[in-house]
Amino acid sequence: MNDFDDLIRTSLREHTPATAPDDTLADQVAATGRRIRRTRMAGVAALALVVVVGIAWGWAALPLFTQQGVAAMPTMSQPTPSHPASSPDPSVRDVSATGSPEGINYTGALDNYFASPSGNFHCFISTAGAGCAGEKWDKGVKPSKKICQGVGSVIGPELRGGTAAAWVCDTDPHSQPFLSGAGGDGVTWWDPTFGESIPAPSDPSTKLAVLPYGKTLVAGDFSCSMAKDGVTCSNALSGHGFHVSRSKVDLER
Amino acid sequence: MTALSTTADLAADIDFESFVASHQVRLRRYALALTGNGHDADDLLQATLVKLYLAWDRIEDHDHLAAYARVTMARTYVSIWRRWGSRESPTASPPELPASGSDTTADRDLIWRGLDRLGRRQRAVVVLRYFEDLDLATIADTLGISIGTVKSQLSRALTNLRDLLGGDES
Repeated sequence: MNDFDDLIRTSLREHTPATAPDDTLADQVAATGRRIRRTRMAGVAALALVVVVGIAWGWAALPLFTQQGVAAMPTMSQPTPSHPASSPDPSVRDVSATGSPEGINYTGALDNYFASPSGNFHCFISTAGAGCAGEKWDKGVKPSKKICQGVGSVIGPELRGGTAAAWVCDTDPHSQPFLSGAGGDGVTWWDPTFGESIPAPSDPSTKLAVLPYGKTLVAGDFSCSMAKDGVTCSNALSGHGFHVSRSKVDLER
Repeated sequence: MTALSTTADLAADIDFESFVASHQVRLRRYALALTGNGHDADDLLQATLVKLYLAWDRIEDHDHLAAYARVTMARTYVSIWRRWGSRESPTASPPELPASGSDTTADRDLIWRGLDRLGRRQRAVVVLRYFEDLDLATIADTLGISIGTVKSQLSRALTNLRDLLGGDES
């Protein structure tokens, strides 16, 4: 311990005075938590309903196929996502197997973080989803933090699973990928021949990959393309997507 | 079943309320040390508590709730998504700093404002080391980075802060 250490300690303590406790804080947080849980449950219930209906349809259709002499159940048709790893297109890169491990409370997918060439958008793409956070927005583009139910801030548009794109808040538990989970470097996954990297705005001592204009990243069913008029991310399987620019956000791309 | 769930939920809510009541002042000071201003500190505290509430039933050892909250808050702070990181870019024009001198009050103010010049991870390492008094290994676990990265981040942060004091003295 030395004088400089003491100076830092004293400075931190001196500038962080204790404030009177807010007696309503726990209630506010619990109310928000319950709302998030209800939203999650509704999503799970909707997904379960789709699965049950699908299975019921399959069982109902089976005798029909059998009667028609079909030996086996036909495989449910699934759109085949384009995987650029097998594509000669040099403007597309498959990052399904790269990225950073998830942070706490997240989904288990590997997140690949990248920025727009202007530096205004910071995005992620994984096999579980894609989303972008904006640094600057034109007035009126970003919705009020009321959509965060009174707690937290609006981050930006996000695609998650097969659902439609939506604005997300930093209090949404799934929307908290952490750069710190990347093992200390945000670009270990990045191919420097595909694009440059820049100092991360959150911490210039780390780097952030930059997806060049005209290039696309693909992870599973998800893809994100960079253009001068903004970033477009979509889910090839569900058909949902979003386009984000400083002046406009389209959640039904 | 529903009644049982409701009772369990109620008990969990009471536990949570008790935790918030006993820890919110300390956590808010920690949030203030990380963010540097009251508005962002309140946002960070709320976001952390919401995540804690949602994870409440999955946390087996409630003796370590405070540590869980500390990890959650630190990681949320350094997250690339946080709005204060983009609004307060550390590469932006630095704030006007008071002159350093023999007055230790001025030096402490200089250090506090100098923290705004650090990247978020550097600042988090400094706060965990000097505000939370954690050792390097615990800081590494808290942020999910290696001890080597903690050492290098802390070293750079201290060099930057020393430069503020030393630079103005010359």
